[in-house]
Amino acid sequence: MARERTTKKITITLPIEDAEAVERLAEAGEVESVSRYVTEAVAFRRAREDGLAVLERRFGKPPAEALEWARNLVARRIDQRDRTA
Amino acid sequence: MTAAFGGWVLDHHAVAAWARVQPYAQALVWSAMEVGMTVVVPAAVLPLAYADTREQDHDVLRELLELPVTLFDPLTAAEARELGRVLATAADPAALKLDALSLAHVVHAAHRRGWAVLTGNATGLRALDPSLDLDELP
Repeated sequence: MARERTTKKITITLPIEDAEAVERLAEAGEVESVSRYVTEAVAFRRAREDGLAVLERRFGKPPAEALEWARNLVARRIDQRDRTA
Repeated sequence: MTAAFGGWVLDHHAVAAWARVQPYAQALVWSAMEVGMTVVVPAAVLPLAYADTREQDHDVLRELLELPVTLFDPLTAAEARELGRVLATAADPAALKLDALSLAHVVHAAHRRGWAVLTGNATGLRALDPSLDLDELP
């Protein structure tokens, strides 16, 4: 019995710089393949968007003042991380 | 979701604030999710978080644990030893209260990852470790 397909081959277009960066990662063995990298990026974005949709449906979007406070914290932590990396 | 982008360890004040649907705690989780950051809930904060919230808030609290943005730190035998070390080396043992064990798990989780703590009350955490990196809920 034939196995059911779980993947689909498609053609995507990336900026040259991004495409070459991913190819270099794959060639260096830091990612399994370009396809795997793109698959994980798509899964990551879907998880994020699904999660936000769940939060909005369940609790509503937080008020602007609270979001501004939280986004400032996030920005500060990302900046801190980048400076210590 | 990956933990590679960093995030916050939540203490029981922050978890209880989430469960009460308080806007700043909800906004932090929302914003973390927007950028792929993570929140950690250490097991030892849960009893106090449940104790600090009403029965009708408990379903919301459990929902936090099921979000893709949330990591749960269990309290294993190995972790218990580490928490014992945090408590035994408290900077100000006289200031420790009922929530000491819960806060010790928070301190340990934050040190293990090198992350900040989101807290509603910095005093207890400072009593354990004055150098801890804290973000206080307004």
